[in-house]
Amino acid sequence: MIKISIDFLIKGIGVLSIILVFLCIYVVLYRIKGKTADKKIKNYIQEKQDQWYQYLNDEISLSQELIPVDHTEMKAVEKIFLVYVKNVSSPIIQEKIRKFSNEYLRKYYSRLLRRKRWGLRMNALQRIVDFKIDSLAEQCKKIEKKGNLSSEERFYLLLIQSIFYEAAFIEKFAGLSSELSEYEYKKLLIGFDSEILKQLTYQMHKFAPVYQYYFIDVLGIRRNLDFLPFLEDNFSHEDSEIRIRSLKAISEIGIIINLNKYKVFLDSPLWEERLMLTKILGAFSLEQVYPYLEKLLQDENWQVRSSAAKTIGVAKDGKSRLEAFIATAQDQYAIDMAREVLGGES
Amino acid sequence: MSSKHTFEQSITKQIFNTLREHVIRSRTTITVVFLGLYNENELHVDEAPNIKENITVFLKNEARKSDFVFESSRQPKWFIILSSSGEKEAAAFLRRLFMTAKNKGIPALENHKILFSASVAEIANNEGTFEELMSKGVSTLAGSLSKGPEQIEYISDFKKRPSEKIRISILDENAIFRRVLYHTLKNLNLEYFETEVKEFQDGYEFLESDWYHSSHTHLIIMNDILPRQSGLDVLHKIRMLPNNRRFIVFVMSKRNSQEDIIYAYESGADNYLIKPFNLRLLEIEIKRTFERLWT
Repeated sequence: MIKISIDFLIKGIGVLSIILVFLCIYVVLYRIKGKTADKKIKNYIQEKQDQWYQYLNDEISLSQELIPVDHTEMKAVEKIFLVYVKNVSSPIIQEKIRKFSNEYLRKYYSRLLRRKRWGLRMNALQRIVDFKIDSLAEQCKKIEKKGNLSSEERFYLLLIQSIFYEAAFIEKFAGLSSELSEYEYKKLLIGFDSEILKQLTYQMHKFAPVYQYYFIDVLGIRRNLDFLPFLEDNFSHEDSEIRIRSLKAISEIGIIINLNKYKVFLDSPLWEERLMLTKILGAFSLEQVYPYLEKLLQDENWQVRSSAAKTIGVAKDGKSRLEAFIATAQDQYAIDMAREVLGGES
Repeated sequence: MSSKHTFEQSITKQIFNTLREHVIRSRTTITVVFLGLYNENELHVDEAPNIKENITVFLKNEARKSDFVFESSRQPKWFIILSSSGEKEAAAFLRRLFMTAKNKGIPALENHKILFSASVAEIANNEGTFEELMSKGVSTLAGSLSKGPEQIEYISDFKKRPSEKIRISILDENAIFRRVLYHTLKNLNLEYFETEVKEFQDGYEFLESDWYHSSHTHLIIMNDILPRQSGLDVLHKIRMLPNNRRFIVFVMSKRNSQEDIIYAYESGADNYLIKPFNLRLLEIEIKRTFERLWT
């Protein structure tokens, strides 16, 4: 049994109490400091937001008053800029924010980039992207060479590279072996302008297969007709996943020029390709594509039949076509599917 | 409905006053055409009443069913009210009239050369009396006839649109962005409209206020996602109100999928702005929206 004298115990409790009191005082002071800073930010915004509006909208020139003098004011300016960047689309305003950030916020974010706290570093990286602070691009390049970066930091550093070193970034994009998740990879690609995406189409064959799939998905999300020829060229690709995703991307774009290129999928051994074809055929008038859809309505695969029936059902005069089909067809599965789309009316 | 009335001042005045009151309510202008015969002396119209009668029949055939044609023994020989029309439509109507009279001739009067001139008054307010309009119309028509055939003179005394108060509500969670929109809308130079702009941080604050319980035309610019009550909740609520057509709703959203856009329009949105959007574009869209209120 350990023997502790009462005297020692009292002294121990006393020391712990003092530490606790200091800790409490620290927490209270920290909170007061935080609240004071928040109040200062709020006051700055209330006082200066109208002037910022006038400056950013070319109504007044930049005055000394708008230049932040301490961290609190910088945070306030950051909040104002973020509202403009996220809500207002204007090349003039973006350029003003870029110039101002490079001139007056660069040092602030440069210091944040060197901080140990991950949150502060991430904040700096995000703002470099938001405000297009190109004067910090070099510093970001150096950071990228360091080890122990989180995947989030790596993602933002890539994004920064794609913005400020576009040509070099495209060059090395194919060899991108970072551990980007599907979400991060797609987010990166969605942020690119169409010209970069177009250049990347020439290099897609160099990407790892899974990145090729994500890349095609993004082309569909962008719904840009310019990518249609590239996607159609993939129809002869040996990887069926590439073909299916290309068809899916085309169905997202929703505009098809040459129907003949798609007829080959009518007899595809892969039901996924036939399924995508049923969706794509919806881009044409029923008059033009009904024979193909009728064939797909009698497909051996349930999903293909269902999708074909839906495509016919939503088209102009589609319901009457389905009714006519029910009256004359022999295939009971297809008739059931047509009935289902008609909501059991027939 | 085509009028069978002959020109009797009291009936004309009554019809004119009724239509003029509707101008303000419907924000749709009417236009009065004072039509005279340039070669009246050559035709001896007063001695040959069939000429005037045939011209009246011709004018009624040329006018729309919703227009009114009145005949008079004095100048103007014809007083025509073109409903839902402005100066431009009246000018097009008159040019067509002159052309038909000149090229095809007026039925039953093919042997006569009929030459018109006119004065035109667009009516966009209910100021001034019928007598003042008549007096101005007759004197301007005299000027027009003195210049020659197929002349049109315009009277601008009655075309000034009355100024109307409209309410604008901004619903966005972010106070800085609300202020940005407030400045943009305050700086709008809307002809014929006075704006009252108010900010709300969410749908609940807006619906709890009595700000929207007024008969004013009301533009609501709101984010789709808001704390407590969303913009789409507000949209559903106001579209359930009687006389909800006075609300013009612009939905702002970061969501750009076709489904979201279609859903907003189906729910009663008048415009869908995808964030980030251009403030100049917003200004122009609002201006166009208010310009379209008047037809």
